[in-house]
Amino acid sequence: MTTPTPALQITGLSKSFGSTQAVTDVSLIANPGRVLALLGPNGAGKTTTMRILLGLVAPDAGEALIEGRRYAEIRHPARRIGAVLDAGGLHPGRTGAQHLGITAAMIGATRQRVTQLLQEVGLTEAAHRRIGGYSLGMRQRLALANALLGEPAVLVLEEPANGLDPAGIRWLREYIRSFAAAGGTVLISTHVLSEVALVADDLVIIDRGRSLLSGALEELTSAEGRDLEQLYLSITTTSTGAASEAAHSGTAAHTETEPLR
Amino acid sequence: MIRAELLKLTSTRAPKIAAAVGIIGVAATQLASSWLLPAISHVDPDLQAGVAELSTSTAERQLTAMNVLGGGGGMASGSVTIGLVAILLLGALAATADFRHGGIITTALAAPRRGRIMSAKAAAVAIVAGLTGLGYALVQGLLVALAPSTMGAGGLSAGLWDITEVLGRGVLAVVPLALLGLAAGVLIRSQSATFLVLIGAAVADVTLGAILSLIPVASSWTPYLPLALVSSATSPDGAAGLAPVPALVLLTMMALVAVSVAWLSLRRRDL
Repeated sequence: MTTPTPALQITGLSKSFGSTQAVTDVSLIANPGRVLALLGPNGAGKTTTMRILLGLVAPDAGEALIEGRRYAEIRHPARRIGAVLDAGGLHPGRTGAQHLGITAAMIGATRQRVTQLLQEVGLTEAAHRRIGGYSLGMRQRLALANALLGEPAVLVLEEPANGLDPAGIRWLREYIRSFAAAGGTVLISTHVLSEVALVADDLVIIDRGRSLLSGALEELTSAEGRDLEQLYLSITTTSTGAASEAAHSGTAAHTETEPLR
Repeated sequence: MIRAELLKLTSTRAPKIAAAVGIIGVAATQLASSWLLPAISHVDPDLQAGVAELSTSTAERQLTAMNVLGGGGGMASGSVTIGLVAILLLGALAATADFRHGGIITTALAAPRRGRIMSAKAAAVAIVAGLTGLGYALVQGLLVALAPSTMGAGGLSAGLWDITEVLGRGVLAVVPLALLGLAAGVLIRSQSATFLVLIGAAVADVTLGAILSLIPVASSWTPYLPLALVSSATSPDGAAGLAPVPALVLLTMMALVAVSVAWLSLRRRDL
């Protein structure tokens, strides 16, 4: 019996920017049909990890694979993986429809798909307004529509609920769940732990560029006997405290490197 | 990918403004030299002599005035005109707008191979610059044809082929200039820094040309400076020392080298 290839596999990832070590040793696996939440404090290395996965940043060591291949090796990447990175890439002078039209032209998606997605994310009426006049939530919806244009099997979402109103958050949660239920894989990075508790199947907590904890969310919280917030704070506070203590004692800052499971 | 890059350029205001400023600049310069200066020349005998030099009453003068990037009466040996600066900035905008607003991320996610991104950008910039250059040529040609001194001499006396050749070379010279702007934008990434570097480089080119021309052992190098190449490529007789076609070829090669360096930079650097 052969082991199926994970949808996403990151192993021993390391990256520094000048003297700043952004990622030291991050590993994670995301399987089809599952939602994996990537958690960590600001500056923990989540964005860098996602950018390496998406081929935007070259790692110093380790590898990040999507369905067994590096992003650059995927023939039609937008048809395999969709990404929302900080709702960026939106020119304020363009309309929502123009933005999606440009991405559609890049990946060979149809005009009908653009119209369908604008409707799906609730931007049909605002489609021909300039993005500069959009609210943060509307930008987020547009970025999500952009990621979905190629009908991908994997979604990489960085803070996708940022700026969304309660109805939008609920819509996003249901969308992510139905996406995973249909066999898709989702890697989501967010600080909204209550949403993670509702949407995620698996969890990876990183801090200071290292994976500290990974596993199925339900197992981790039940085994520790704590809710997600308590679990998250205990892990990240311990990590920060250990580093701070090490710094004060003159030794190298070194946090727990072994995943707990 | 080329269509997407063309859509990027045509769906925002800045590239349209750059093209419009270039065309208006070409028209304004020609109007000043063909209409305004002759109209006020009676106030000063020295100005009258200068205006006489700008007259388009002969075929030779008409062709000189049709130099698309020549600033009306034609460049002596490389100068900075509005049309030239506008084209450089148009090329730069194709790259820097993407870096400024994060569009490069969307592009790189759709097409991870950086060579594909760079070639699509270069092709789109070449098309848009070519069309803008065509606008320059039409305006320049029309205004020279309608200039009082041309009409006073019984209309255009330059041959159609000669006119087409001069204007056509002008259009072709616009394309490498836009590619130089694109390459600078990809290398520098910051929009304001790219604009400053391009304008600074254009001014430095003129200054360097002037300095080199004063040094006997170095004066032979002046025709190979970028703006001198533009001047040679666009003027009827290779005003800055080189014949028009070799100058155009050298300018194009210079732009292709710059685009290749930009591609290497895009490939090596993180986004």
